[in-house]
Amino acid sequence: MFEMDAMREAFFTVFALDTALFIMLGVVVGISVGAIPGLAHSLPIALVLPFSFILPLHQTMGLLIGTYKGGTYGGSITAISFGTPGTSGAAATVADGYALTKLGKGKKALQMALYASVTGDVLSDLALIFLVIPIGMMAPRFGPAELSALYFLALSLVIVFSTENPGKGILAGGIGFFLAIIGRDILTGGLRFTFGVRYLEAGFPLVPLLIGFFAVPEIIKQIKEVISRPDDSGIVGEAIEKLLKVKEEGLTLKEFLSTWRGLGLGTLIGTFLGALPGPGATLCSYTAYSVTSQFSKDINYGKGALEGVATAESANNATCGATFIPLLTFGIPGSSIAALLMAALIMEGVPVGPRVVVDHTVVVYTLFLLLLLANPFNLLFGRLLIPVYSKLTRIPAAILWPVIAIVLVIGTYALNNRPFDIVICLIAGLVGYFFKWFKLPDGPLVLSFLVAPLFEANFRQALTISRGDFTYFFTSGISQVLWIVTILTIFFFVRKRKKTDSKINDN
Amino acid sequence: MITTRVTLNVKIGIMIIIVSAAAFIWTYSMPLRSMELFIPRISLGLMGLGGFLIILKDFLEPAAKIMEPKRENILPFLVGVPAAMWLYGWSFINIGLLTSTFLFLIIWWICISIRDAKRTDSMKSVAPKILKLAALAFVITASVHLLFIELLSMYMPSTFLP
Repeated sequence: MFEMDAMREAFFTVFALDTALFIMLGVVVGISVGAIPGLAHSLPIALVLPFSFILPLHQTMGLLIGTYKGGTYGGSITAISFGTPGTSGAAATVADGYALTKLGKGKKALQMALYASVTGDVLSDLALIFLVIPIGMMAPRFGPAELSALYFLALSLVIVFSTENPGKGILAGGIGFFLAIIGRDILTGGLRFTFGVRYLEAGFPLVPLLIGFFAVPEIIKQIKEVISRPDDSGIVGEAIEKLLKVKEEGLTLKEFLSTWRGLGLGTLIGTFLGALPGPGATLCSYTAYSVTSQFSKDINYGKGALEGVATAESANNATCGATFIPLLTFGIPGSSIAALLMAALIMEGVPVGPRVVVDHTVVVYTLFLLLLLANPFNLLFGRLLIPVYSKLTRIPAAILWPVIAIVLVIGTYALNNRPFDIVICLIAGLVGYFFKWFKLPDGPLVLSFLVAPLFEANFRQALTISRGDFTYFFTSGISQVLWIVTILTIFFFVRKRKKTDSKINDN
Repeated sequence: MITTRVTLNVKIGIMIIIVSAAAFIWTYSMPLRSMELFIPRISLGLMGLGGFLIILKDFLEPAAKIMEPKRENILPFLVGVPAAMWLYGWSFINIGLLTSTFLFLIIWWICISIRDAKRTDSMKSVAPKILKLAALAFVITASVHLLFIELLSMYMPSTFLP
C-alpha cells in the first residue's frame, strides 16, 4: 500500500545536492569503466562497496546505482565503435552497432544506444515501482521444473532464431553447453573435463571467456589488416576512412520512433527476464534481439539496423530496474551486480527480504527515486561523453589496436589477478575466430554458457524431487504453458523459414 | 537437389561429428555418475547433431546457395597475435608493468613506422614520427599505471623493473 509520509521523506532525501553529486559521479565512472573493454562494470561497484561503511544509504546507493546504470550503457560505446563489447551485456549490440559504424553511422548508433538504454531503464524502473508486488507473488511459483522449461525455451529461441542454418545454431549451443559444464559438478563436486588443470576446477571463468571470444578475433583481424594491407590501415577500416570525411548526421526523432518494435520488445523481455533470478543483462539482450529479428521489418536487421541496437540496449538496461524485483521482494539477487547492491543494503543495516517493503518503506521508496533520478544523469553524461568516445574511431588502426590489446590483457588479469585468465581469454579468442570464420552465431554459445549451470541445477533438482520421474517437468500449469510456447514457437518459425526458402528457390 | 559435393562445410561437419562422437564414447569410461554426465552428453550430442545438420544442408541446398568459409592464410596471425598478447601478459607480471607496456607499444610502432616509411620512401621523416609515438607510448603507459595500479589497486607481484 502506498504511504505518502514515507514517499515525502524519501523525496526530500533523494532530491538533494549531495545525492545528485554521488549519482553523477557513479554515472561518469560507470560509463568510463563500461567503455573499457575487458573491465566488467561489476568491478567499480565492488570497489565502491566499502564506502557503505562511511556514507549514508542514499549516497552509497546513489553512487552504486549510477555506476550500474552508466556501466550498463557504457558497454555499448566500444561495442558500437570497435565491435568489442565493454561489458558482456553489450555483446548483442555488436552485430548491428559495429555494422552501422562501418557504414559511417556510428554517431546515430551511439545515440540510439543511449536513448534506447534510457528508455529501457525508465520503463523498467516504472515496472519495478508498479509491478513489484504482483510479479513478486508470481516468482515463487517458478520451481525447478518451471525454471528448466523457461531456460529450455530461451535456449530454443536463440538457436532457432540466430542463424539461417539451424545446424550451426545447434553446434554453437552445444559448444556453449560443453564449456559451461567444465569444472566441478554442482551437486556432487566431481571433476568434469578439467584434464588435470587445477584452475579449471572452478569452471570456465565467464568474463575472460566473453572478453576473449568477442575482442581477440577483432584484434587478430585488425592486426592482420594493418600488416597485410598497409594502404588501408590508416584509419580503422577502409570504409570508415572514407565515411568519416562526411559529416555524420545524428539520430532523428523519426528514426528513433521507427524502432518502437525493438524498443518495446527489448524493454518487455528485459524487464520480464531481468526480474527472474539468473538470466542477467546478456541473456536478456540476446533473447530480445533474437525475438525481435523475427518481427522486424528492417531487412538490415543483424547487418546494421538501428532497431537491432535499440532492442539490445533497451533490453540490457531494462534489467537494471527489474533486477530489484526479486531483490526487494524475496531477497534474491537476480545477477552478480544485484548481489553487490544487496550487500551494500545489508551493510547499511537494511535486512533485505520479504518484509523489507513493510518494515523499510522509506528505503524502498528511496531506491525507487534513486533509480529514476539516475536516468537523466545517464542521458546527460552519455550525450556529453559520446563525442569523446566516438573520436576514438578516428585513431589509426596501427596505434589503436595494440593499445586495446594491452588494456584487454591487463583488464583480464585484473579481474582475479590470475595469469591463467589471460590464457583462457586467448583460447576463447581462437574459438571466437573459428566462429567468425565458419559463420557460427555467437548468441547460442553465450546464452547456453550462461544458462547451462542454471538449467542443470534446476533440472537435477527437479529430478531429485520427482525421484527420476520425467513427467514432473510437465505437471504444473506454468511449465505446461512454457513447453507449449516452446513447441509452437519452434514449429511456427521452422514453417516460416521453409516458406521463405521455397520462395527464394522459386525466384 | 541432391549431389555428392564435399565442401569445406562438409569436411568440418564430419570432423565435428568424429570429435563429438569420440568424446561421447569416452564419457562411458569416465569415473563419474550417469547424472554427472547427463548434461555433458547432451552437449556432445548437440554438437554432433549440429555437425550432421551442417553436412545435410550442404547436400540438400542448390549449389549456388552454398556459402563456403573463406580460404585465406590466417594461420600466422592466429598464432602470432595471441602469442604476442600472452608474451605481454607474461612480461608485465614477470618484468614490470611500465617497462613491458612501453616496450610492447614502442617496438610495434617502430616496426610499423619503418615499414610505412620504406613503402612510401619517406625515411627522413621517420625519426620525428617515432619520437612522437614514443611520447604517446609513455602517456599510455602512465595512464595504464594510474588506472590499474593507483585507481583500481590491481595486485602486481614485485618485479625487477618498474
